[in-house]
Amino acid sequence: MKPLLSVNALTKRFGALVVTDAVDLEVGPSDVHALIGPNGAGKTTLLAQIAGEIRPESGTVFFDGADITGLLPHRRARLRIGRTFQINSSFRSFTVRENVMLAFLAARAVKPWALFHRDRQLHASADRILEEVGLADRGGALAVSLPHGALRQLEIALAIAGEARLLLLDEPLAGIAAGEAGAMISLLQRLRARCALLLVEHDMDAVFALADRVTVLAEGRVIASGAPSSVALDENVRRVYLGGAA
Amino acid sequence: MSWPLLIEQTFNGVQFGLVLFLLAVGVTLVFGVMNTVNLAHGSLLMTGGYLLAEAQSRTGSWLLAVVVALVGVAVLGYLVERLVVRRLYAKNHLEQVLATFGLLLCFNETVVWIWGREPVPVQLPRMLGGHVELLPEVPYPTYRLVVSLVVLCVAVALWFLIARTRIGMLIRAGAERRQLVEALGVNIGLVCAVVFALGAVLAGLGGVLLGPLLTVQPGMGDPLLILALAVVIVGGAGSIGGTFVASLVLGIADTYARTLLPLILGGGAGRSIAAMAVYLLMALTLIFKPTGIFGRAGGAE
Amino acid sequence: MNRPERVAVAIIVAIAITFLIGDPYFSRIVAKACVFAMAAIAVELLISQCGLASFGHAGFFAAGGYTAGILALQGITDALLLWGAAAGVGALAGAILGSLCLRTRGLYFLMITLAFGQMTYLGLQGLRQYGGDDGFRLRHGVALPLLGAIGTSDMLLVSAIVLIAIVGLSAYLRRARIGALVRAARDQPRRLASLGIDARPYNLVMFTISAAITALAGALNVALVLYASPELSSWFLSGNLLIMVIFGGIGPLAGPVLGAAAMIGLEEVLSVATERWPFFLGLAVVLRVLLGDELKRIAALVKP
Repeated sequence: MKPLLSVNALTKRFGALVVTDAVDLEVGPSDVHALIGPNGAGKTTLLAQIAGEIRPESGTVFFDGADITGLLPHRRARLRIGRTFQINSSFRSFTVRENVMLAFLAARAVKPWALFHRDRQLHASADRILEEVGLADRGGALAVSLPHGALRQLEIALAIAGEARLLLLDEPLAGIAAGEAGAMISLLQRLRARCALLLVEHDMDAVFALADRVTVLAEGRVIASGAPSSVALDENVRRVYLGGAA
Repeated sequence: MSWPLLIEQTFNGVQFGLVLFLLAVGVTLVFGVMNTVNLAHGSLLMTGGYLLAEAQSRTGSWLLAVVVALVGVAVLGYLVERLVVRRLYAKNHLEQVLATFGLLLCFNETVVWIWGREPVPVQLPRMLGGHVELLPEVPYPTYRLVVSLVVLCVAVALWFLIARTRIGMLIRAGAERRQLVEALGVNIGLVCAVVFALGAVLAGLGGVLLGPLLTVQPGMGDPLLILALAVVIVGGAGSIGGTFVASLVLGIADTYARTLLPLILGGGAGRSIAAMAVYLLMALTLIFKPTGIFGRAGGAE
Repeated sequence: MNRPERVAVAIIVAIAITFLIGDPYFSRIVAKACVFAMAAIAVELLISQCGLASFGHAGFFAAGGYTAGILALQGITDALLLWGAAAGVGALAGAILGSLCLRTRGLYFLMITLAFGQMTYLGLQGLRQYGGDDGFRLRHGVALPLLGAIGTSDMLLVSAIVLIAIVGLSAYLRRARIGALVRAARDQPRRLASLGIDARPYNLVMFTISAAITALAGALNVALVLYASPELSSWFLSGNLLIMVIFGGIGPLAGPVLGAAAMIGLEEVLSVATERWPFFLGLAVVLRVLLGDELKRIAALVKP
């Protein structure tokens, strides 16, 4: 089966420091692919290059057979690559519902001169998504007033509103209390029915519960890639990351 | 256009650029260390000019008047920093611009209050009057040469202060990593006050030196401040070396524009277009290399 | 005050009171306030919606004024033509300058708009045939089709009507998708890009509209005072526009209108009391900035 996302020999340098070292990565159309590694391994930088926010020195990124290496982030999003951010980045001066409504503007025609706030169609579409992520009752609240866990859910809502075929998730469980993690994991489980997921995560429970494939990054290089169980047994990985305590 | 004219205007340009440097270096230091824009900096230059004129008319001695003016501006600079500017460090750039703009209005009106709208004359000291022959048949005012020399000495002294002394090191460190300097136990408030006072004295010196050349009048420093902003942008905010080079370049460019280009391009349009060139350079720098030709990365977001 | 209807009513009431007072000098001041309120709205739109503070908007004010003035010198008196041309020139200048200035943000945007404002000032000074540094006078005002020549008291009415229309435009832009998009871009530019939206053309449209409104205000100003000079493009005027915006408050629809009224009113009241009124204006600005947060806190406490 042809991969949906194909990253080939991607390399990025910041001065003398090689942050991404000839990385190869593949994600199939219905895969859940986890990207793990110790802090500073370059996971977020790699994600940013796939999203188009950082330009690599060399290497290519292919999406659905097309070369997207030179495309700006908003163009990649138009190709239906969705993304969440590690730091909560919802639109502060808008309500939760309006945040999702904004996400719909690109998916349909933007129509900049139409009115925004009272648009019933946008309302309905947004509410459907909020229902799905479990934020239906907070639609009218200002995004800034949400607690951290709900903001992470909003991040996911924004990403799926665009009907993404590939979702790039940057530590979706970051900062979520142990008790609430289960809710987020089941949300991510439900997501895999609609799109491929490439997630950067530290939470090993989530990784082993969700991932079909795991790629381990250390110092910018791929040191292991494959099914979670085999990666967990890999000598290099144990030494560098799992510390033998898996 | 003749050779003597070209030489004369080149010297004028260098002299103007050097005085511009006095003003610009204060702006760039305050921006580099405290991340603050101060539109009232030109007012400090103006104060220097007025204090010089007043002290001279009362004591009859130019030299004494210079001292009085510099001390006066230093005190004023300290007061302004303590009362107003200090509270602006934490605010955003728009608020800084507006507050210092308000200060500028206050300064201008205060000056009119005390001295009226008419320009106040400043007497050139007798020994500095007269001319020097740069080349045979090319006389040049002695005073202008003295001004250039004084500023060059000040620039060297400033370089020494910043590069070789402890307080200079603190200033440089404060510009790079303010919180780190604070964490090391240095009284950053004192460093900021010193930086501002230093900038104020330099601006005041600019006013003192320009007094006999320009007219001492309300708002005399403001057009120069705008030019100084252009210098700081082009040279790189926070970089004294860059400010020096940019001051000379823009000073010479502005002088040529006002005097030589109208002869070539003809009339008012020529003067306008040439004067616009400085701001065009400023705009181009902001678009393509906002940190300036010599600037450090990271800056005014 | 955020509802355009309420702001319009307030303006109408103010104009009605002015008419009742019937003093031509006072009428002129109120008309001037209306004209500057328009320009203040344009500046405020950029700040509150796009998050961009411009220190060069006086350039558009002067461009509109000079366009209308120069056309008037050629003998054109039709207000719609003059003001339409002014707005058009403003829009064109806004589109061109915007595409350059919008490559910067924050303080750099402030500086680059300052630079272009200065270039306009210097450029206008070079127009020898239009008085250069001194500017030029107009011998008569404008005329409206069907209604004929417009005198001073008529200018008051016309300015108020145009102001109300601009208030309506401002309200519409805030409620339209374009307003939402530029505000979202202001909040989280990376986020908006990740949703597939490139905010740059929308910011350019907002800048162009803002420039056109300011140019229109400049044209009305020239029709009011029958005089145009390069001072219209000075950074002082740009600074004054920003002061009006900060006095009125950034965000509420009525903000710039109140700010312009307050500043022009303050100017008139103070200048009667003392010739040194700019000092008190400057002081008021400094205090407003320094105490701004405290004032907000006090206001929050006082609110029931």
